[in-house]
Amino acid sequence: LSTPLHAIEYGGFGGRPAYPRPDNDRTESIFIHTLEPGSEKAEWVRIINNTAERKTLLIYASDSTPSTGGAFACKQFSEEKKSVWSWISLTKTEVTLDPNTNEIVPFTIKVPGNVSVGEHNGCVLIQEKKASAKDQAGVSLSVRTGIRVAITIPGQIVRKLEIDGFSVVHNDKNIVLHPRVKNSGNVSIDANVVLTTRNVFGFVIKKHEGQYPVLRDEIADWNFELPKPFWGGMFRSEFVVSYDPRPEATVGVQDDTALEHIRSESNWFFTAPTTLGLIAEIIIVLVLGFAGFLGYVAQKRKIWIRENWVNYSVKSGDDIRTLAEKFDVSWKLLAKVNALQPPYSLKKDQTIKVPPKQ
Amino acid sequence: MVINPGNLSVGIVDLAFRSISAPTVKLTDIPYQTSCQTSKGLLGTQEQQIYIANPAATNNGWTVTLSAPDPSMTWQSGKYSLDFNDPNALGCVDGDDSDNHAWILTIDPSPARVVVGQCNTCVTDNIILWNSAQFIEWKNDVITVLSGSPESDDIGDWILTGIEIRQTIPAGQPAAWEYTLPLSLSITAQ
Repeated sequence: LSTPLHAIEYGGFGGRPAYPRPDNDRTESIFIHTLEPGSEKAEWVRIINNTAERKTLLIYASDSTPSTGGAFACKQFSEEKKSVWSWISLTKTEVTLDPNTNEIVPFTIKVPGNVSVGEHNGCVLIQEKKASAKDQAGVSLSVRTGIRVAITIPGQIVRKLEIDGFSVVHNDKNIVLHPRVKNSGNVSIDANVVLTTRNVFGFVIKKHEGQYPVLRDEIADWNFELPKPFWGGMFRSEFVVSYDPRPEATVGVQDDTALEHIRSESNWFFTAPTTLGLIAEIIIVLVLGFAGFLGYVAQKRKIWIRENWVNYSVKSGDDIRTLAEKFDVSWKLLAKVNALQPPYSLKKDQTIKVPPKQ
Repeated sequence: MVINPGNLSVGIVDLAFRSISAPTVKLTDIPYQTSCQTSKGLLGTQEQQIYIANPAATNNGWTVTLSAPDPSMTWQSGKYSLDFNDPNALGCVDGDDSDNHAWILTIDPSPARVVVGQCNTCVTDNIILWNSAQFIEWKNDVITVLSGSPESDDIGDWILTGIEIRQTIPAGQPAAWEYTLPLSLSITAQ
């Protein structure tokens, strides 16, 4: 079955379902089945080596486990076989593949007769066969790719999500919004999440949207990063989770017209501005403060002029410059106070305001 | 021309994207101390980059996690056995688990950096680094380090460097042990 083929631009080793179903896009990357207790299902996994080296790859099944945050993850080979792991029989446990080749490995899923209703998850894993690194100090790393196997046992299917909480964590660089949603049903649910953050004036500054699986009996705790707002201030975040509550919905299949919406309470939070924002705010405050001070001084001068300048009757030979020199004031101020227009000519016996004599 | 099917994968590669055959993370040696200490290391360096490739259009998101082969295992160093997932949050005194050792391993992806790999048109939008978490026996056995939400590029590749690893070392432990803990870096489609 190993077929030499041309390389793609990049990639590692791993696998994927060999024959995805045309009615469910998700089957291109995970195995999804609804199986009766006691039934058996044939499946095929395509093992792929897109590295530049010939590799011997181990293939094995495992049960699933939630990782931190409630995401789907696979258990290790050495852990106890409890659920889907023990239902899977692979026809091969390792394959050796030349660079840029693949091989299809059949396997069967045999569901026990006494299994409970609802979704059961496991994995088919592909890992490079290596000697253990005994002589190395520190953390030795191996890498593997897991393909989720989601088996739903029909019966009294319960699909129910609840808001479990919503917290905000402030980091140096950003703000992390943590909406938490609990799946109290017996199957995983694809939740459409829309998290909206508004400023104090109600304008949307960021909207996070996405579809995320919430595993059965688990609390999904997602991370949504919010860049620190430039100006800082008070903000309000809230999220809405939409999901298909109908029992007939399944992984990758939901009716968008039948969605149920659950809404979190608003979470108000304050955040300081970014460093640049803080500098900008300080400059703006200084500029506004200085402008206010100048305005205040101008207003005070205006009042003083109105209360203290006196009337003067223009004499023959006076002009605005000679009067400005005589009263020790700028000719521009004299023109402004007396609303004189260019060319600022004065008439004999005209009454104008002038500073009081010292 | 026939193209080999792509697949979601994670690997450790060098700057030229060649696989590293035996990737390791060295932790700083701590001399003998009378107080509890922390030894640190970096998972994902320039020489050992974590490389995530999704050429298969896995379009409903994926998760990269770290886990030990068995939650009940210990670090081994000669006659010594050391824990990595003690339930005592400080890791300085043995907690209530299946062994008699303290020690706790913390994985902190928050200071890490994600950049685009070989795909020039890809972006790092919706590729999310997770918060710091400690291994806790039977509770936090698998730690999420990175995830691609369904809105991330359906076809793309990314490089992850700078995940901080911190191991607490209780007081009175001999220095510079040649200890080893195997961890698995896994990628799974959601």
